[in-house]
Amino acid sequence: MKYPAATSSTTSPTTSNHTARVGHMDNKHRADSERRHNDMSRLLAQVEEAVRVIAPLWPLSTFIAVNPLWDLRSMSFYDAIDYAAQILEIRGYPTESFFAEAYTSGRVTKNDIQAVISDTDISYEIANTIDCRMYNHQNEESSEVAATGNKTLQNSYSNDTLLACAVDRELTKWCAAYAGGMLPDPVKNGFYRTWRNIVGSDPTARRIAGKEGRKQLATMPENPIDTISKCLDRLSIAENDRVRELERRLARTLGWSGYAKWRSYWADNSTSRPALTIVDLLAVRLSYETVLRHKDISLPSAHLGTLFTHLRRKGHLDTRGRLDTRDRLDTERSRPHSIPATTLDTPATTLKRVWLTAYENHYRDWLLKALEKPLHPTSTRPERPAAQAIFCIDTRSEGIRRHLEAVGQYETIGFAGFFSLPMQYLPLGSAEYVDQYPVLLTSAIQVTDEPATKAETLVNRHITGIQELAAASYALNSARKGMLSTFMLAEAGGFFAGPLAAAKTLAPGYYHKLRDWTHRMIVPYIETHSKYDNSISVVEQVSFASNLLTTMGLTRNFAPLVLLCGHGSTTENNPYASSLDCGACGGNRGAANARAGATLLNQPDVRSLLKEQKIIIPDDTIFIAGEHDTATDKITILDLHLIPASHIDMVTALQADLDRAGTELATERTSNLPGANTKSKVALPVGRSADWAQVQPEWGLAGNAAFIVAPRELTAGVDLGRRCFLHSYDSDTDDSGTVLETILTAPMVVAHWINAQYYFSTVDLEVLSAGDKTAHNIVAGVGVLQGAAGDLQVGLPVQSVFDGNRPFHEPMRLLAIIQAPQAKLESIIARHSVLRELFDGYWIHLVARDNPYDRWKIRHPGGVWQHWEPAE
Amino acid sequence: MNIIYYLGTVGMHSMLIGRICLIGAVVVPLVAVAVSLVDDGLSGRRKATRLGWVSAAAAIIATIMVALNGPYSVTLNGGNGSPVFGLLANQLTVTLLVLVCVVGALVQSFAVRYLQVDQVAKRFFAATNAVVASMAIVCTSATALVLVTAWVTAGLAFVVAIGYRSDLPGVRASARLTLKMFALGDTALVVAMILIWMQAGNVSLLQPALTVSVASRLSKLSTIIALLIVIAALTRSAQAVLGRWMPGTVSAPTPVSALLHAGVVNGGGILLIRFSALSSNSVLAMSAAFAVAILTAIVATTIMSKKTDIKGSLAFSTMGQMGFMLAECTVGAYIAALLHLIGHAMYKATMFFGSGSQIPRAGQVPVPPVKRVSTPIRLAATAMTVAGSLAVMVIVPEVLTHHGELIIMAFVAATVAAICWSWWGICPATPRTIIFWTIGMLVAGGLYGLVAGLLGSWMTPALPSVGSGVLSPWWLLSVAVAGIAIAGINQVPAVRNRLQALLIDIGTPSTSIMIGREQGRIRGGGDSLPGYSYETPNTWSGSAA
Repeated sequence: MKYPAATSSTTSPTTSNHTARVGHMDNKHRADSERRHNDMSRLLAQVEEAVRVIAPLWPLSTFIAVNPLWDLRSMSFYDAIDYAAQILEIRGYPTESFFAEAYTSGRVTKNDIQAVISDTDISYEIANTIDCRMYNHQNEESSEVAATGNKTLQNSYSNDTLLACAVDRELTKWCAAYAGGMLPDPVKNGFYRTWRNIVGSDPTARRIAGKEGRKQLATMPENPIDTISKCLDRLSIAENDRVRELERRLARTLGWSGYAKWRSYWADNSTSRPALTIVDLLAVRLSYETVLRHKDISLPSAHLGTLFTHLRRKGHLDTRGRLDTRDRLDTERSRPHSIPATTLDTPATTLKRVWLTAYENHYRDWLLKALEKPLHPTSTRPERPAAQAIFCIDTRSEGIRRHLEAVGQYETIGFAGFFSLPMQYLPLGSAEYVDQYPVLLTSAIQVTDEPATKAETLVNRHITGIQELAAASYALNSARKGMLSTFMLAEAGGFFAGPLAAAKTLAPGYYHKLRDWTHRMIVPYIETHSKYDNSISVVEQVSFASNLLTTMGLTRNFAPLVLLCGHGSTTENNPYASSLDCGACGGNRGAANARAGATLLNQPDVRSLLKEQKIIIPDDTIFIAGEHDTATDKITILDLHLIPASHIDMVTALQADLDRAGTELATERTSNLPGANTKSKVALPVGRSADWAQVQPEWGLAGNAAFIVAPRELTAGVDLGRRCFLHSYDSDTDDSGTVLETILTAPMVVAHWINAQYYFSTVDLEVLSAGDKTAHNIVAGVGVLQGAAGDLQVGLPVQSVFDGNRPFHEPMRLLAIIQAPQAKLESIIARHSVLRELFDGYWIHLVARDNPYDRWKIRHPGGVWQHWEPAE
Repeated sequence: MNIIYYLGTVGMHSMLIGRICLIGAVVVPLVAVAVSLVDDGLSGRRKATRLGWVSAAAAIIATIMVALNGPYSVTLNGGNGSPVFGLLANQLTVTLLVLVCVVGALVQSFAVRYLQVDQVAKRFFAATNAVVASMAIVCTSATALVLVTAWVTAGLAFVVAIGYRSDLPGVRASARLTLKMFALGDTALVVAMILIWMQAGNVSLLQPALTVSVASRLSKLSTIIALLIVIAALTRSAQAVLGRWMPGTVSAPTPVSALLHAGVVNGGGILLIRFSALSSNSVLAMSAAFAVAILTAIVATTIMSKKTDIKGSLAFSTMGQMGFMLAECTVGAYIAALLHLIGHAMYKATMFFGSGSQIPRAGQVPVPPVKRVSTPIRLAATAMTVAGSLAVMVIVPEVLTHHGELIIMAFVAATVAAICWSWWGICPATPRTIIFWTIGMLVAGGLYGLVAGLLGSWMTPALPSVGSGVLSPWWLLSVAVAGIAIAGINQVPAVRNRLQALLIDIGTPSTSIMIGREQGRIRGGGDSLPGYSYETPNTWSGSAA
């Protein structure tokens, strides 16, 4: 199997509906219609260009970490930030006080900074400034704040801004109603047409636009693209300014624009999610603006009071801590006097680039030094390990691999957790397929659960049970919304719910057990196995199997047990649960892929055909599936009924070792879980997982920093602190470079997305983070609001990246460490524009060496390689 | 002042434990306020929570003492022998006391973990305990003056709880609006209290009969006083325009909402019942309160069904539920109102606590069943389950002995019918399902009947007598009429469109809250362009240098 090139320039379903109707016109109007057609396609192109500044936002049922600036990647990291800062008002770098604290604590040193400066064209004076800026940052930032505050207070808000606020309110109101299915759209007209049908009845439209204005809104052209065109003309926005103006309009509701972008460009065509596309969104916003443009949008004075209070506060965004560490730094200890203070006027961004790079290089130096150890003595490794365990490249797998290797003769391998199976998975009794593959790919196979038992009654009970639970929740929900039933439901329901709520709060562990038991009573567990769709021939299955084995480099020396271990996270009451699941499985749990992979590799006909490709799997080797629950660090071996009697003892032994490793990893993790420093069991990993009051059940991928592509020998025995994506790769067995090409264009891009998502959510809590989880308000089942109303939140919540008011995640760009020949790397980079953009545009740092005996070399943009010298 | 205070001696010797627990339940939360303010950090919050449970335990023991020995009180009496300050423990007050204290403790237990990284959570714990202490006094106060004072304090403490995270979007606007509206409602109550004081002094609530006789002395002002009390109750219980403050409060962290919906918003009902003698004699006040409450029940519930954000939907649901509860008060169905107040408190706290569970994961939509029940059988099954549940409920003794309970049974029947009808619409028809479902509904109906019957007969002796101003319970059925009417006019497309737009619009907070929530995220940018531009207060340090 080949991965398609990783790129977002997929076909554009945004416009297919709307352009279709252009075409059957009278002959005499042909010229007209052609010109119109050109206009429309130019406008569509402009919309597509404008939408680059927005990142797609997946529904929360499958949270996907994205680089918020992904479509700006043709610019460099720095330029993209500058650009987005103008449009989205994002903050692209950590604050100066963040760096100041890093400097104070030794996390970044003078040598690091000097090393960075010597690599750049920054003059010595500026370098000096950097130091004194650090010591003066406090005054500087507060004066900046003061200036802002004054400016804001002096300027009264113009009508335009108030208009924009009013339109925001209307747009988010309709978006939430439409996405939540509250606007009737039986024939799938799309958001714009549905809005147009109802806005004529909207009281607020009448109030702010007047009766005439409301009528204008309701009589806008039927086709949204016509509306956009008409409105842009009416607003007299010049052709050259269009992209910029559209960008700014999309940026005002970053969340809903992101959702619309996902719906337009990334969603599966068969999706049942409401058709809220970018064109629709823009058409609605521009309609309001056009009609309201000359209206006086005045807010009552009390409302203005609110507005100004908030803007005044804006200067103090950080008084509550979060990124700002001013208070703690306000001590003399952070001010060594040895460095002369000069005041040169250096652009803040330049300084931050230097600081960020130095901060990253410090970690790079630490990591490369940590990897410098005597080569793992291969002679002490057993000829054939007791078992081989394949884990996802997810950073959390590093911990479990380290501990598993420590408890027994196990070999572990890192590989993308969907096991090269881009499959749509249908759980038993489910009506909807789950996309179990990275969002950059498309599905190729369908896998279903097939009951292993022939006892039909049990299967029926299982399916009936699922249907009963769905019916119960539907019935309660209907009664909740019914005028006659809602009152008694709440009253009577309260007497049942109250004691349960107390149990859930006071004894979450026991409640969880009780609930699981009840669930098993209603939906009895039945043994199943993965079944591939009949249309997949054995030959195709073999190609999946050989691709899987060769990409992970497991083609010989098979152990008697090979564990394919997916991962997922069991958490309670967590809207962001999917952000803790397997990103390679499209934000879902990874068990299905592990099971499908094991099934595939255990098939005798697949194995016999693999022999033709010189992959000889011994008859005594079996593949088993497992799932690592990253919240509890328990690893469950799945489908025990499929394990032959000959291997049962081995599997039992393996399970015992997995339990030991898991327990040790959980203990290790406890040290930095917030609030876990008590004797209370509910604060420990297992307790947190079942606790509905827990907003930080685990740290997820926070801390992720590097992507290491090398044999496990390079990293074995080193405690990498669950911060590295580990992809196993042996350059010697990959002469053609195709495996490396796959790794760089798919898993590395996924790792980069995750890394960039964590980076931006950490450095920009205001715009690119989802804000405080404790005030989240789920809307329309697709996302969260912060508080009572407004825009969808994008990115990760504060609790995912911050520990109290200190960043837990260290914001750094991804460091790719690859053990492969330079020439091979360069030829792959040359073939893929996305890799050139990422490596040459400072999005990812690349360090490589040809072989274990070589020195590490750093790749600078443009393909300049330089030997790694750690800053002393 | 020539009043001499001395310790009341009413049966002090016999029920010392009960009295100590009664005082403890009220005072311990005050200690917790101090503890959480002094001890910043996790340990302080844990201590406050433990004290919360101590107070809940004290309330429960106080209840047991009432069950064993009957009502008792702790009072500080004035010179004329009537109480000045004091707490009263009877079946009604201790039940409410347990509700308030347990809710407070549970909210804190939840919040200890939920707010574990919140830097200013001590303010939440302090405010929560202050709310609990003052609501505990509202529930148990022996005199009108103390009740009114505690009521005002509870409101202020709750405003602090809403506003404790002023950095969150919309929180300041919401806290300010709540303060304003509470000020309005509480002023009404304070004025009422002044009027009462001028006419009758500090009214004792120790004996219902005594209170009634005092109330009769207010003859001229009684209607005004009743109206003022009603305004206070309607404001606190978020009714109609007086409830404008409610939707914005979901901007505050979840535990604040749980506290509000379980322990604060039901204050209106508590006030009307405890001040029954002062408010329920006025036909005008009761009619006005009924009209406002029932309208809110209808409108807010309809808006709720159109809200797509979970917390907003819960907030409007509460407004509707409180409307129904207050309407029950105005028809004199006090037991029904109390049951609703208690049941709804637990229900809404649970819903808010679990409000993060509303994201369905992929693959959870089940295959539709092969065999479904046909419509006639669906009808029959629904009817039989309704009849069965009602029968099981009625078998429980004393369910039907209270004022207005018959009407409530109609609502119960409608609820069972709605659940069953929806259930049989999508559920597979297997013998097992039919048996389990039917038994389940009957058991649930029976259990609820049991709880309602027991709680009802437990509280009845302590209930104030119902005044002459209350309406007939049959008026409650206007909710049903409205429900059917709305369903009916929804069949007319033109009306449906209008109604839908209207409901969606009312349900969305105003622009000021929206701007508030922007919190400086007024975006736009770059150079001003000819003809059109958004203003850009560009303030990010360094990002666009």
